Amino acid sequence: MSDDKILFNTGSLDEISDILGKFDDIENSKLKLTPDNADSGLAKLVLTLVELIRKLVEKQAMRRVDGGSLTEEEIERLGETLWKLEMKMEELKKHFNLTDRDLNINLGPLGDLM
Amino acid sequence: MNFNKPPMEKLIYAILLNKSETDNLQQVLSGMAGIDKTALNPISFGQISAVYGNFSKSDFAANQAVAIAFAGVIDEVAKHYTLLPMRFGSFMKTSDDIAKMLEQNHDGFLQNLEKVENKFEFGLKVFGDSTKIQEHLKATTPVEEKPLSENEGSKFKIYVNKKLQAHRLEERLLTFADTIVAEITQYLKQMEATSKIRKMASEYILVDGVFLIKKNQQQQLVDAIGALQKQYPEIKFVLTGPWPPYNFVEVKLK
Repeated sequence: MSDDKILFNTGSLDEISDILGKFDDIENSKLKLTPDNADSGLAKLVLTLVELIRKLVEKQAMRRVDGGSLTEEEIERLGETLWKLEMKMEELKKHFNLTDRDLNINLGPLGDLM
Repeated sequence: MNFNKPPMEKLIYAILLNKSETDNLQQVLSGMAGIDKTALNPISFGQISAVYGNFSKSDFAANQAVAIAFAGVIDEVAKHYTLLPMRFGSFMKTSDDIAKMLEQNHDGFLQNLEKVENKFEFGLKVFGDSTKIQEHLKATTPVEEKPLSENEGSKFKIYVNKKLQAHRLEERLLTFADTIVAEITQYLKQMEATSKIRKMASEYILVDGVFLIKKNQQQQLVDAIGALQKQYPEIKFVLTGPWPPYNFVEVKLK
């Protein structure tokens, strides 16, 4: 993008590049399925979906906790379930050599998945 | 062996509004150049014209440099005419095909052109590191939040409590993004702008918006963004434009 297209920016172009540089990982966060990496690519896809669902469940659970509608016992059980889910997920990520960033797929114009 | 040159197809850059009969589009285009300095040509039907260049499709490299050059040509034509940018790499075989396409889609093109007439698109990105903003919000606007329980108890309850604090911080970040969007929307309303705004497009982009506003309101928009930047120094506003109306065209070609 040329300088004359930037109408307002209190910093420099380098500063914008620095911020955008943080998106370098976006290329890595895209799903690149090829015949050579079908296994790991599929694992990444499946784990991404599992992680998305896990986070949605967690978010909904926190809303309920914050709303004060759960008993102490229910919170205890919920905590144990969420904790076990997170631990299991960590185990799977480690097994397939994936990081949190790998599972946050970039959806192009729609932004990041999570 | 075939030594014939590959056939030249028509690369369409844009469809433009050409209402004035006295306006010599051909003359204006002769002062400009297409990709690889190729000539730009018009084909008209009614009040609309297509701008195209002759290009061998097999020689056409769909890479970033060519895409930028393609956008540059559209940008140059947009300085003179209200236009609808065509998708990068839009080819037709012959100029007759273009004429037919213009005829069949005349009303749709015209409707869209009138919608964007004398207007430009502007893009706004509001950058900020969500973790740092959460810390900033925590420090600047502390809210008394009751803990989960007076007696934290087991490790699972401690775990839920930590998750709850993170959830509350995230909710505050979303509220903050909502506030920014509301402020921007208020300014845009005054300008009768059309807009498309997304919040939290990524961890670093709090707001990602495009606006369609009248050409003469550009400075008003710049001033409004300047005022917002002063109000929220912890985040970074970057306004770009003017752009052709890439995000405000809805034409389904027949």
